[in-house]
This record gives sequence, structure tokens and C-alpha cells, in this order.
Amino acid sequence: MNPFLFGPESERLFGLYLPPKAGAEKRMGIVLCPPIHQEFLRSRWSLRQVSTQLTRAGLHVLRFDWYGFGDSGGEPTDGTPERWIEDIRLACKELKEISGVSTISLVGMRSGATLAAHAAASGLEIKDLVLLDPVVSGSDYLEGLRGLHRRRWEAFPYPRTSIREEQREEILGFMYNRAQVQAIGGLDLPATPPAVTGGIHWIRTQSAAPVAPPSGWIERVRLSDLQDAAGWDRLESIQEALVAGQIPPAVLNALGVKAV
Amino acid sequence: MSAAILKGANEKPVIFGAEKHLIGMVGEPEAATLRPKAPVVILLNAGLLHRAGPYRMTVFLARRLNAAGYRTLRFDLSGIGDSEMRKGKLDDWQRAKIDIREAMDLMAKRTGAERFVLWGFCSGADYSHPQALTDSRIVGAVMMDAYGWRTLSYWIWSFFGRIFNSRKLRNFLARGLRKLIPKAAEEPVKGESYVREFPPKERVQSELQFLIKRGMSFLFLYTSGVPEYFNHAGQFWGMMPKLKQDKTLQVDYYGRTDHTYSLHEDRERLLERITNWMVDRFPA
Repeated sequence: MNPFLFGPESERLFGLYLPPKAGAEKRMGIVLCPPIHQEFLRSRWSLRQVSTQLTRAGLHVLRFDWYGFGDSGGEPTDGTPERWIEDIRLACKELKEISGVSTISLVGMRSGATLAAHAAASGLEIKDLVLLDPVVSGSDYLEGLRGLHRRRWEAFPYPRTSIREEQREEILGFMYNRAQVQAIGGLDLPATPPAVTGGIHWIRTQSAAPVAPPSGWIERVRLSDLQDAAGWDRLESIQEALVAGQIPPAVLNALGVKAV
Repeated sequence: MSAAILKGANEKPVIFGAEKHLIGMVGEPEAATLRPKAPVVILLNAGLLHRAGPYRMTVFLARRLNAAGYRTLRFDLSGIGDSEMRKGKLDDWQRAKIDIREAMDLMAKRTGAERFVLWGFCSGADYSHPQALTDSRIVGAVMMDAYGWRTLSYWIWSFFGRIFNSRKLRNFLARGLRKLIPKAAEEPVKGESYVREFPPKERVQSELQFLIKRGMSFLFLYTSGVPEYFNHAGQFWGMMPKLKQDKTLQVDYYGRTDHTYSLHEDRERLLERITNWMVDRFPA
């Protein structure tokens, strides 16, 4: 393990490089793109499990924190989708320099998957793009979060008021500024899938309202349905860590590497 | 306060411990505001959460303390967050004890610090107590939703709280209804904290007396998020009748705050309270 900071001097990002297990090394690197805000907290443990499996299978892995999240500099309100897409570019560059690999694949979860798709669509050279329950519609995603937030405080034993002002809004423990809300609300999956040298893999957990790939994507993606439920839209799950369950083997399968 | 410090400008990742398996972030104040003789604050995991804490609370707290002149180390205990599991057959308490000692040793080596304050939340608070008993370098502890025992007044508050709080009554009745007709309603919301086992309260009381006599300062902060064992402001003194509130032992109860301080307003109040307590107790 090698924890380090990277990116612009005044806006540092936290990264954790995980080298492949000795003797199993493959010449490929994986950048993990976590979700943002509340789902970022929920995803931590499962993405650790994913990265452990990937390094055992011989891959170079970089986990990183978006600007404004985790150990990175800044505050959550400082981030924008444009900034986070740039974070992915910086992370890929850093992983290439640390590991010496020239081939990178992206594994993204929820909004992280959507940002990964945009990074690939903006010209970043990617082998495989693995999307775990990607956010297809930014406005639906935001409304879902607002609904959970509302229900969470309606169920609370005491009446409490969260901030919803002209310039800022509080949703599930995080403050958003208005421009950020608008930008995230507009963060849809690209209309057409990005060009990648490998494949695009869509991994979907169980949900009462499963989200299908958009029409422009159906022909290009390999869809895998898992039996596990992530509970992204469930009030009961908002304070629970996402259990990795079938996610690590599904990611390995998508990347075409054998579990060790 | 320096805006750059509050955005993490003086933070560095570290990997440490005899097995080089613990990962953390060291935070430094600016030279002009540094309190060189003040204790270093060690921030433990909030339960099983990553070192950034719930809604990044631990990051914000460390940066506030850095801006106020205190050095900090927030890190993941073995097996939590990014830290690997420690080798050998040790239980959680044994591992945490070695982890915290190695964290203090790291900061002592880096800064020459001889005194430490531990910040613990939930099980992190549980680990702080035995650590302080065996390491006199620890001069203060912030204990958030730490141990608690139900007293007579707890049961009285519990009964009347349910009767006179319409939301609690509604939730109570709804839970009963769900038990009667399991599929008639949504799944109940689970409790906010997981099961913890506390040592006997008489022992804890005498140990706290010992630690206070040794010169330690404590700040206990409870929320309404642990209703299974703590539910009103005076309960601490019912649990610990031999202790008295003074500068060395301060206890707050935030009766409308959830366990993880999910609202911005609550987090802000918390950060201010802890920072002010540090400045008051450890101004050097």
C-alpha cells in the first residue's frame, strides 16, 4: 500500500496505490471511481473488497478520493462534475507513472460510474469501462436523494429542519451549493457510449425499480444482473455500509481476469 | 482561521506501525498558530467507519483543530478503512491498544509530543478508556456516545418520552403494528448503533476517578442516537454518582441530535464545542 497526495499543489487529491500480488502481475491498471456524497460513505468498504480482489488477481489498483471528499483537499461544496472528471484524468496519469502500466480500465460505482463514462467520452484512453449501478439521470438521482432525506427526517423522533436556501441545500448529511445541485442534476449518462479499446460492462444489483441502459447503449454493453441488493433507494440502507457480496467477482469477470 | 488549513493544505498521509499496515493523515497547523507544547490530538475511527468519519466529520474536526494550533493524526485502526488487519490472534481490544500506542509513538517521533488527547466516537470512545489507564501520555479524551448504563431515571424518561412525544408514540405504535402484520408496512428502521458491550459501571467510575486524579480532562458528548442506553441530560451523573461536573469532567447531551450528527447545524455546534474545549483545557 502506498498512500500519497497528487494533483495541483493547492488542490491535492488523496490516492492509495495498491500493487499487484507478487508473482501474479498483469500489465493493467484499474482506477476505482467511487460515488459522491452519501453514497461515497456507503461504498467505501465494498470498494476496498473489490480492490483487494483485483490486486490478488495481479492488477495495479488506484483508489482515490474526489476533491472535497474523504482525505482530499477542499470541501464537498467545492466539487463539480467537471472537476471530478478531471480528477479521474489525474488519477489515471498518476497510476501510469507509479506502476509503469500503459493500459488503464475504470471501475465506477453510481455517480462515479457516470463520471467515469464522461471521462472516457472526453477522450481519456480506456480499455474496459465497468459501470456498477450507474446514475443514468442526474435529476432522478437528486430527487431520489431528496426523497430519502425527507423521509429520514420525517421518521426522526423530533422535528428538525435542514437547510434549503437560495444558495445552498443540505441533503443526507452533505451541503450542496446551488450551482453544484444544478450540475449534478444535469449529470446524465452520455447519450451514446464512449469509445473504449476493450468493453463496456454494466453491473446491476437487485432493485425494486431496475434501471435499464439507455437505448443508445443497449447494443454496446454487457449487462450482468446480481442477486444482491445494494439498497440505494432504501431508507433503511442509508446508514449502512454496502456489503461487497457478489460485486468483486462480477468486476473481475467483467475485466476478464480470474479470481485468486 | 486560515482558509487553506481548513481545506487540508497542511495534511500528509502516513503509513506506520511495526507492520506498516496502518494508514492515517497527519495535520499540522501553520507555524504562526502552532501551539508547540499542546497535546497532539489522535482521532480514532467512528465505529467501523473510514477515518474520514460520518459525513467527513473527522476531517472537518481535524482541520478545525489544526487551524486552532493543534497537531492531529486521524487514522484507521487495524482492519478498518484503509488499514490492513494486524497479524496474530488478537481481539479487537488488543489490536486497538497496540494501534493507538503506535499512533502516539509516530507523533512523538515526528513532533516530540509527550502528551496526547484521544477523540473517540462510539466504539472509538470505548477504546480510549482502557488506553488512558495504561498510558500516562494521554491527558484528555473526547468521548462521543461512549458507554452508558440504564438508570431509574432512564426508564422514567423513556416512558414519559414515548407518551408525550407524538413522533415517538407514532413510531412505537407503528413498530407494534408491523409486528402484528409483518407485511402490512415497510421494514422498520434499524437502530443507529450496533451492539456494544460495556464494562461494569462501578469499575468505570473508579477508573475515571483515578484518571481525573492523574490530571486527565474528559469531555463526554451524548446524543439522542443511542436511546437504547442513554436518553437525558442528567443520566451521566446517575450512572456515576461519585463524579462531579467541573472543568476536568464535562458532559453534554444533545437531545435532538442523531448519532452521526447528520445535520450541518449539529456538526457545526459539535466542532465548535470540541475546539473550544481544547483551547480551554490545553491552551499551551
